[in-house]
Amino acid sequence: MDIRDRVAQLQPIQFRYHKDIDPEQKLRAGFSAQQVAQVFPDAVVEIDGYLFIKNDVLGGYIQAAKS
Amino acid sequence: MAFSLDPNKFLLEANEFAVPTRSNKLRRGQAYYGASQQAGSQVTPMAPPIDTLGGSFLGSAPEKENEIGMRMAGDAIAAFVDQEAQKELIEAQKSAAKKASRGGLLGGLLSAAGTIGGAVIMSGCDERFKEDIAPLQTSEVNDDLAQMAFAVQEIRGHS
Repeated sequence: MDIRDRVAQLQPIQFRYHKDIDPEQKLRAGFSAQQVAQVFPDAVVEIDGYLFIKNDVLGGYIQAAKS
Repeated sequence: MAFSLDPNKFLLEANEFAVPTRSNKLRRGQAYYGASQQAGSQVTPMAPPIDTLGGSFLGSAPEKENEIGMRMAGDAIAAFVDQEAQKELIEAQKSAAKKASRGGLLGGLLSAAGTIGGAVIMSGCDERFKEDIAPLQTSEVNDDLAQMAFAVQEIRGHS
């Protein structure tokens, strides 16, 4: 499977952070870190039980897929 | 000791000071002549040719070695700085995550965990931070994550 197919497996979402994170609760675009981890495990890091997306790693894959 | 102005004496005295080197191949007591000079003529003291092996327009071999060494040292320093930045990030992430688990200060998690020196390098995308999750249609925020999400949506639309 090439990089473009893998990137196409990502599922972009819209969401709002909980109010204690973002009091304005703006509508945002992004991904679920859990879903990203299934496609690109190296683009996610787990810290104290929470998942974070490594923007530089994921961005690199997306850039490669675009080009 | 001063050299005599008499050519013959000067030659004899100069023989005593001729220094054997690899390039002139002199033996002790043998005079050192320039290419245009004959034995018995006045000796013009000649410095042994300077070793130009490795010399070039861009610098001598030692200079190049020094330049390469400096470059390698620079690479090592850059790698060290990267490692230190990673450690700093992990510590910040852990600290923020602990705050979040203690008091629900997840805003601190997002603001502190994802930045070093003002550059956002991680995103708090754990599903447990979010609500109203739906397939992407629109966004009120145009951050790095949003740009990536729309780029993927475009890729998915073309595939």
